[in-house]
Amino acid sequence: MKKILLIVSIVTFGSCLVFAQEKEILGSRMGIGFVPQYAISGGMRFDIDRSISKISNQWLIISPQVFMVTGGRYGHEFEELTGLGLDIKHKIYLKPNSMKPIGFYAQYGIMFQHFSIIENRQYTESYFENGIEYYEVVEGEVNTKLNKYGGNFHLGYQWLVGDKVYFDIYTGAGIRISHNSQIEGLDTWYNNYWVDYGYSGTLLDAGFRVGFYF
Amino acid sequence: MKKPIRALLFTIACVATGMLLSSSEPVYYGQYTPVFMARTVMENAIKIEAAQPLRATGKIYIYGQYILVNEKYKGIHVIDNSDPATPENMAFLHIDGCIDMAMKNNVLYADNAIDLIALKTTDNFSSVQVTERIKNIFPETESPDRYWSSYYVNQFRPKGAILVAWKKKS
Repeated sequence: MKKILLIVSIVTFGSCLVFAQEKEILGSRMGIGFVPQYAISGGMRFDIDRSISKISNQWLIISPQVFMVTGGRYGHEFEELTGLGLDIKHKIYLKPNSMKPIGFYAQYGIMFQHFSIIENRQYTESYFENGIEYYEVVEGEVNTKLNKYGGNFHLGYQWLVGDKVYFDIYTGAGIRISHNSQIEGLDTWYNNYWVDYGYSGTLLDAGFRVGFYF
Repeated sequence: MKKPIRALLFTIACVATGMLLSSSEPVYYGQYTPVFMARTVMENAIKIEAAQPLRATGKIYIYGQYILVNEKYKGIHVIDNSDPATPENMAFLHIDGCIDMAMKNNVLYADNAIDLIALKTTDNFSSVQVTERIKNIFPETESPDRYWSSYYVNQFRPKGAILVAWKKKS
C-alpha cells in the first residue's frame, strides 16, 4: 500500500513539474498599479495584484480608493467631498499555455464606496404657519453620507513590457446601489449621471491601468 | 487579435468621453421652491379664518352678494358685496393648494391641491363642512417659471407628502 502511495505521489509531483515547465510563467507574484481615470471623479485608485499561487493564471486584485473633491462635479457644487472605496476582483488570464498575466482576460468582483459630502444646496425643511406643518425647500449646508456598493464583470487585455511593467485596458458591465443618509430608499440627489457618486443602476464600465510587478 | 483590441479601445474612449461630458454645470432650479404637506394635515386644515389682506390673488367668482377671490395656493377671500360702495372683506376660507373655485346652491367646489372638494357653507360663510372629496383628480401644479421637473420635485418630497404651493424665493 505504501509503495502504491509513493508511486502515485511521485507521478503526480512529476507531472506537475512537467506541466509547469511547459507553461510560460512570471516570476513575480505581486504587482502594484494606478488607474488614472479615477482622477475625473476626484479620486485615486491603486491596484494591488496578487497571483493566487506560484504558477497560476488567476490573480486577486485589491483596489483601495480615496476621493477628495471641492468645487463642481457632475452638476453638484461641493464644499467638500471625501471618500474611501475598495474593489476586490478575481482575474483570469485566458492565454493558452501561459501562466503570465498577459493577453485577454476576464475578471469579476465586488465594490464598496463611502462618501462624506458637505454641500451648500437645497433641502427640505419643515415649518409651522398658524399651527399647520408645511415643508419647504431651502438652501443651506447639508452633510450627507453615501454608501455605494455593487459588482462588475470585465473583459480586458493586458500588455507586459519586459515582464515588469504592465498596461491594462478593460471594459464591461456593472451594477451599483447607493443609499443616502438624508433620504429613505435609494439615493436620488447624487444620481445625476451613471458616474455620479450616488448612482444606482446598471452601467457600462471601462478603464485603463498601468503598473509593475515585483 | 488586433480587431478585439481596437474594439476594446473604442469602448473605453466612448466611456471616457461620457465621463468627461457629464462633468457639467450645477443645475439651476429657478425662482420658485415647492411647498409640501402631509395629506392628513392638508385635509384637516380646511377652515374659516378671520379676514386677511389680499396678496397674491387669482380667480374671482361672484355668488349672490359675495365675491370670492382666490389667494393662490392658500384659499379663498370672502367679500361681502351687498353694498358695492363699501365691499367688506369678511372671512378667509383656508384651503391649501387652492387655485380655482365655483359655487352652486351653497356648495363651494374647489381644488385642494390634487383633490376636488365640495364644501357645504352656511349663508353667511360662518362655517364650512367638507361633504365630498375626490382624491388625486388633478395633476400637481408646475412651478410658475417651469424650472422644476417632476423628477426634481420628487427629490425633495417628504414621504407621502403632496405639493400644495410654489413659493417665490426671497
